[in-house]
Amino acid sequence: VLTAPIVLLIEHLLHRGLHVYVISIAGASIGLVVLLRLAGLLSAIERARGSERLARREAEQAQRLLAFQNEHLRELDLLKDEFVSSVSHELRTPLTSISGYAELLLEEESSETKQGYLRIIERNSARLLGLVSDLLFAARLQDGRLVLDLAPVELRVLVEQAVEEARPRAERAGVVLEVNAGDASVLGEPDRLAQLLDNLVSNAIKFTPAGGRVVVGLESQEGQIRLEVSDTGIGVPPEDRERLFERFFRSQSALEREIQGTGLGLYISKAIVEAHGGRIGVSNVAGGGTVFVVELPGAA
Amino acid sequence: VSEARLILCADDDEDILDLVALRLERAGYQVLKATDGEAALALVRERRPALVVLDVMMPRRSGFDVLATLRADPELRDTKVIMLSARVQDVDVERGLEAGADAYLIKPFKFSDLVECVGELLLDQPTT
Repeated sequence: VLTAPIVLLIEHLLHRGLHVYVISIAGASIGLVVLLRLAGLLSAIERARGSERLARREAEQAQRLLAFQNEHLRELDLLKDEFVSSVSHELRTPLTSISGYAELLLEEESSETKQGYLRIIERNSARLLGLVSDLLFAARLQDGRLVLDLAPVELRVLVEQAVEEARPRAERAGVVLEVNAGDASVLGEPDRLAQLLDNLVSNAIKFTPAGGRVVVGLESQEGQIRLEVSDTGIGVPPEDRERLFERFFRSQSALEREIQGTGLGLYISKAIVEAHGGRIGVSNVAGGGTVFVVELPGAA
Repeated sequence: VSEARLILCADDDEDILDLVALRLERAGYQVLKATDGEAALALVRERRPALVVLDVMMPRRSGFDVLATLRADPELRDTKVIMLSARVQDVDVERGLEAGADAYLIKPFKFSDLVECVGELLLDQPTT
């Protein structure tokens, strides 16, 4: 905007031969332009600095918020641990009395009928204890805290134990329970593997109507161990197969038949298998029934 | 010198306490009962039982606390201790055994197992 009148003025002065003025004015104009530019530049730098400060302040605030939230999460985590541990304590204490007095009565009772009733109490308090333990275990799993204490394990022995423990349940349900286990050594935690086997065998019995059959197979081939638990039960609808291992998921077919469960057994089983570096899958058997297949790396 | 057949049971849950005491009395032991940690310690000092069955979560003084006091006292440190707990985390069990418990039973336990455990611990006690 300034240049037009300045150029006009310079032309006018040049015309009159006043070169000295022209040079001074030109110098002053250039100086003025440089000054203006410089001022503009400085204020741009200042603005940039300001926004940088603002950004830094915002970042610091975000960081403080994050630290605060982290602290909050840690506290929540601790609170949850305490909660789970105290719930477990509160449930286990009365269970100790229930099963303890039932145990005492069972020893004193001579009537077979009453002994039968007492065994029902014992069995159900054991079941309740199993649920409490599963809930506790699932809560710990969610924090990704399944750390295994590894030792060489002869899986065949565990399979046979699990089957023997499940046999009374199978007999009550009118289900034939068969085992076909070969030698198979793995590196694992015996308690967790026993828990896995119990889950799979109990499930198979639970979902198999009377007159059916559950077969547990174990074989080792080229360093790979394959465990199969198959049944002639109601099967898993294809749309449920994907979600079967999710926490608290219950298959529609289980709900329709009012088969009891928490939806934790297979979730826990999958976590145990994966912590051992293995895989678990499920498929339907032709002619009805389900087979769960667990593959584990064998011990070298 | 401790009383060879005398056992102190401490648990704030009286149903469990009575059952533990009944089971041990039937197995031929003489049993003292306490419902908190403070009372348990006082009874140990006064009566010198050979074995203490200690619940972990008790009012006034926890089982861990009582155990630590026993182990720090030259006159009481040889008392056998069985800890009972409904706390199942491995750290609790480790803590109990590291603090010098002779056994750690998780509730609910089989009472016949407890009696068996007492028998084993008192068997290797030198006769006095």
